[in-house]
Amino acid sequence: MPRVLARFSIPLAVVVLILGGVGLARASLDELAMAQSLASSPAALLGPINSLGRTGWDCTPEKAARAARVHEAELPDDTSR
Amino acid sequence: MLILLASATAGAQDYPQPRPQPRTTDAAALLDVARQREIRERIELGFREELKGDWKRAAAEFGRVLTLDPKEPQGSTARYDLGLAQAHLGQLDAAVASFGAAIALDPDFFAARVDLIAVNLMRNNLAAARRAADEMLARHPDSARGLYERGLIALKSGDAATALHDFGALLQLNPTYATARYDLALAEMKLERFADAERDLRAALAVAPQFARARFALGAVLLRTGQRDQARLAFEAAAQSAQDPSLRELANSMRDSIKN
Repeated sequence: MPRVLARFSIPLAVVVLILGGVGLARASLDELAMAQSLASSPAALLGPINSLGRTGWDCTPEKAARAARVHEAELPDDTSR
Repeated sequence: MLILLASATAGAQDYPQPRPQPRTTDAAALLDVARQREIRERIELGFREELKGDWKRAAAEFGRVLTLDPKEPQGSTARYDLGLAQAHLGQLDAAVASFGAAIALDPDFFAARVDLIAVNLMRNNLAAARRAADEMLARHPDSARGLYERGLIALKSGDAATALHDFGALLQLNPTYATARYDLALAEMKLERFADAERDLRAALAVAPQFARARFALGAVLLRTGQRDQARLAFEAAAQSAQDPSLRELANSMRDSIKN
């Protein structure tokens, strides 16, 4: 029995290594793809404010900061990337 | 006719009316009038320089304004505009201090709060950015900017649960915002909710078919869930729609690496 095991141990190890290697390669490929799925761009800085301050006029940066709707909030559109 | 007159009067109230300068011979009062005038003039000059993109000259104007000890709202406005100029000049630590000072004077100054988050992200200081975003959303939970920025910070710092919440809340009011739908899917991927991620990526692509990053992420989800043929097709589509050469190359490599 030990002789039989010794006879097949090397081919067995090779098979295990090959299967392990394939599994490892697949896992690495999955992980690589997941890791390369990056978050979208941060929003740009808002614009300047004049001497009237943020209140009492139609202050675009303050309105963008408070807006609940995306088109008013000047958020980025990453869909062309 | 009366209604027309009333509405015209109401409209006129939206604009500040010029007021006559107070007349005085008192030296201290005259000095104060001159100082207030200089503050307003310099803020307007700096504002115009910022609109032109001359951040250095703008910073000089706002720096001078602050030596004149402006009252509100000019005090917080000058600090906000100075912070903006400093951020564009790459003086990020100084910009953080300026936006912080503007907020200290006017805690409901949300433009300053938003730009404080943005500058902390530029500094890659995720902890400070997160604190600023938490404070912003505590005061104004519906702010699309606040939700988007905190969602991004959470994604980058491994807090997928907060990212899931924030992008989900943003999409409640803005269901066709494909960029946030993609970020929501990234949070779901990190939480290993792959079926949800696949659904959201397909929803983003239904709105924006040329969204290469979403196609790439869809390939990643399909690969992870064992749908290798579909994953190969997704990477192929990502490569075809990518504007960014490095993403195109990566998508092509992923497609070629998938073996049955």
